[in-house]
Amino acid sequence: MQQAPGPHTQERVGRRAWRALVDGRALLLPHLLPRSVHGVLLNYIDHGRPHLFSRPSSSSSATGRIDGNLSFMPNGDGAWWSVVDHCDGLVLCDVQWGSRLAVCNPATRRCAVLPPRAEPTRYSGAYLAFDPAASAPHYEVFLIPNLPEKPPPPPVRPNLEAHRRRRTFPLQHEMAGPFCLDKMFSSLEVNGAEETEVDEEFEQQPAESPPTPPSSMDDDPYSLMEWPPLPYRLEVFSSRTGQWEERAFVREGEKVTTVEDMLPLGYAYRGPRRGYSVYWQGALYVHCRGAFVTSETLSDEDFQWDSDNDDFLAIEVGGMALPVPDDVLADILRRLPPRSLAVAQCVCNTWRFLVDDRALLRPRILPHSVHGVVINYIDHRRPHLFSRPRSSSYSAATGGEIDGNLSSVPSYRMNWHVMDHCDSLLLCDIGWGDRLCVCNPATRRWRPGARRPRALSPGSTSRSLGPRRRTTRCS
Amino acid sequence: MAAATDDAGDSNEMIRVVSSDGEHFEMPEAAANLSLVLRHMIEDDCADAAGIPLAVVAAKPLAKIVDYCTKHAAKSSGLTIEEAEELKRFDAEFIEVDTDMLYDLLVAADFMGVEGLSKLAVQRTADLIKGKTPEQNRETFGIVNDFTPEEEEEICKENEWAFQITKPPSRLC
Repeated sequence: MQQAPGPHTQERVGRRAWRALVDGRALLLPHLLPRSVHGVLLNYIDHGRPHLFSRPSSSSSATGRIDGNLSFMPNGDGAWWSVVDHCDGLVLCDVQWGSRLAVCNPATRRCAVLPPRAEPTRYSGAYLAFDPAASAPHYEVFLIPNLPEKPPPPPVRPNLEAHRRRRTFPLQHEMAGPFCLDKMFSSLEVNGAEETEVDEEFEQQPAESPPTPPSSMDDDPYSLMEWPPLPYRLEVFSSRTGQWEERAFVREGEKVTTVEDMLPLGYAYRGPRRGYSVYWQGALYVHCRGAFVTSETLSDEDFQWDSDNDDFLAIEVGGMALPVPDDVLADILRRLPPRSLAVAQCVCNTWRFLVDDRALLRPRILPHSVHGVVINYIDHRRPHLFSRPRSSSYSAATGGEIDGNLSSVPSYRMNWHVMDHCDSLLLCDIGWGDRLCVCNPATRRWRPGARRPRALSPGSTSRSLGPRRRTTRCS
Repeated sequence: MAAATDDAGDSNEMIRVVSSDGEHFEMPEAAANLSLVLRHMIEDDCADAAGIPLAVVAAKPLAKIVDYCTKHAAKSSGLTIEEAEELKRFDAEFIEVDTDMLYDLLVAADFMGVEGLSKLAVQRTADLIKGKTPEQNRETFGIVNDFTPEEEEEICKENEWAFQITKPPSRLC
């Protein structure tokens, strides 16, 4: 706790504030990872697996507490994987022969394989954005698209010298202004009409446009195509939604770059620099120059070329900075009656996930006032709910919000009865004495237990069930 | 440290805070004390003329929060019934905001540890969700329905009971 965990946390926050922060929020636990440098993880260019060089620490073994060899990753044939990117303690891996991505944490030895993408197009690089201080435990993965395919007729042979010469010019002054990408593409489809289309573009802005650049290569509409296009669409995976989505970015600033600028060497460079990225204060800086970069509208976020360094594309990763904390969400859900909660589940996948998949939230979702009394009779199989007469929605049959008659239990036609209960969950026997089911009359959820082996369900056990047996207490 | 007093503006020092986008705000110390984070920082002598930087709170929500704290600090002790009523009215009016601002307030109030405001925003959010159909909820919060038709059918069927106001008499017993 001596070190500030990230840029978003003010170092000026004093000890008392720290203590309150840590004590008050169990949610900060992901921050509580070791903050001292444990070692260096080296990822080789020509060797698939990374190595961890750790400092010889006291009693622990060579790898210490951090699993630098990522030995928890699946191994063996058909499980090929390699490290693609990393960010603040998390590692992004290419798994299953490059068909899927996975995010893992060498400290906790957890690995999450990302879901497959809807349209698995090729991309030039996958990058991880994670800030434990601001967004933990959530991260995002960005896919930088490939450069668009070169049009079929390739009349221009690679001329390295022309490229080198061209590189010395200031890039933004060469451009006649933003091109309409749609026009570019349509002209390419017409095939042969390129020149007139491009000429029109130049004629429309005669004052600003410099004379046509000298090299013959520069007439190639492909090379002059604006890149990244507007809007720049990236595929993004957010761990908060658990889904891939397309996010559009708009350019900030004047600088327009072209496909050619992306290929300073005249060909797609696939070397190690491709993998450089830095995530800093909500912006992801990606090395794009020379990357074998593809494309495809709405704009809500920004990207810009870093003013100091032409080689890096800065993508402002707004949005993810501050999700509503889990305890606040839990508080909101807790205030909803079961009926609204069930309706909320039908809104969208995110809400469904919130209500359904967070086991942690469950105990807090239950109504906190006494709604009624469920009476389970000894000589009558079904329980009855006697609820307090409430508002207009009350009806004797349903018992208002709570399903006291357990009409939600699936096999109501069969012989079932309530066997036990604990803190508003009920244990029912739904299968003639050999199948158990736990249900929650408030949320109307039920979970069947596995069928017990036949050998274990002789009649003698059920005969031993008497009313006194059912008095159990859990503390 | 100084407790909240009735005339917060005069007897207390003014605390300066700086939003993430660099705007400066001032509020009486009693008002700042309503925020757990600010109170701890004041107690740790971290408040100075330069202002306390709040790196994750933008100017718009911060202005609202300063308003809220100032109003509540000025009326924190010895409330008469009328004053309590007035504060309630203030709260009700205060939280009549669009969902974007509500979101900002939820996050910022939680970050700054302003308990009263946090509760207010959470309750407002819950009230917005309550008693609505899924479609109305999507409209309120600008959510796109991302269920496939099959998923939607499944999830609606699973929660069928919630859409029925009254049910036929029990089939049981």
